[in-house]
Amino acid sequence: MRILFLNNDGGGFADYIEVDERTTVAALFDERIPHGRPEDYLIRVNRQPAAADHVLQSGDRVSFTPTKIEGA
Amino acid sequence: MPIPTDRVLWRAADRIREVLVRRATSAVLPLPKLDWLHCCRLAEQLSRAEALRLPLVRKNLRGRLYCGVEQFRRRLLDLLDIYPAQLPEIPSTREVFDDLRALRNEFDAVKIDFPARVLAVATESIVLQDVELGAFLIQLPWGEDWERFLITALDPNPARCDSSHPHPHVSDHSLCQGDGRPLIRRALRDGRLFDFFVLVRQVLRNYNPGSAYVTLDEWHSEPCAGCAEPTAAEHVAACSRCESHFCPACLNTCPGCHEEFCTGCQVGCAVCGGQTTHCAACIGECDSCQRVVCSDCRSEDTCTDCLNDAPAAVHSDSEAIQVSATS
Repeated sequence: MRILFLNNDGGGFADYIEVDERTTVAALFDERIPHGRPEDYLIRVNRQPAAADHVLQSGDRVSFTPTKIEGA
Repeated sequence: MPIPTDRVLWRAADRIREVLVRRATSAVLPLPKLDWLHCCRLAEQLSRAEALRLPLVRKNLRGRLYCGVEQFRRRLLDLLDIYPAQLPEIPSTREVFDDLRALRNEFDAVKIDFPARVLAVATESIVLQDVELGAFLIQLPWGEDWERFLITALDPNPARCDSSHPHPHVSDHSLCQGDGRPLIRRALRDGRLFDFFVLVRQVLRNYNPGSAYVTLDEWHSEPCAGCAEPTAAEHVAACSRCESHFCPACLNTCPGCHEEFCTGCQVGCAVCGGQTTHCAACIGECDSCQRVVCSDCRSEDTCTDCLNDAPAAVHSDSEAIQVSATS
């Protein structure tokens, strides 16, 4: 199934990606940000906070935003 | 701030999407032509300087050309951010509405100013390293240059040494975006309003002492009126005469009245010199020599120097009398 994935950890790109059915938020996080810790990110599904075991649905909008973004 | 209803959010979403469509379809690529021409001119001048064997001019031009090329490169990279190979998908009115509705849940307040075409959210009160900076208003003007968003402190607690910094990374309502810059630019380019406001808030929630306008260590400090050193508020004291604020090193206690005075408001004694300085009220003029002397170096209204000289003066007078008598 296809979801919109926004990775605000990298360049802030928004991409439609294919994920397996029954993919959870935690599984997607581990796949996309393998060296990150979930507590260091604002994890949102359809702009709302989501639990780690939340199962993604087709068409969901998932964003991972680091909590620590330093100004200059 | 009243909470905007769904109806108001729909109206705003519709207006904002109109701007997004217009922006995407009428985009003119602003190539950095002037920067390129500047580099060309400098390169020509450099080759002339080399032909004429002018080493100092050549060195200067080489440096300027390097800066010019660097500036040109930055402008091109900025263009890549704003104008990707494919135009970003314009969010639907529904998506813009969902962003606005999510903002309403995410932030303490959302304000939509239709005449001014400004969308604003208020953050929670931000505390960095125990320094309470208060809440901030993030204002996005959707009608013009979206990158000119503004940050305004709602309960300002600015740096004491410079009130134009309500936050270590904000100067005159402008956020120094640092690591957040590419993310914020892409969110604005794609019309992702929710992401934009969340990203800006995250920058406001963080602190980078290495590049802050004013570090939090110096937040409550103020520059000493004497030496300009930033001094913590608890160590700053006012001069009893001019009332300006000074660091402890720039204040002295007047031995006469025991009040604190800055060096500018103290006077050195003509007798004991720089050893003691007094305030103007505690220092007086010697009736005999009219010099300014402190109370320690003065008896009645005569300084100790004049008092010590006085017997000698009497002696010389008597000698003169004797001389005149014998003659």
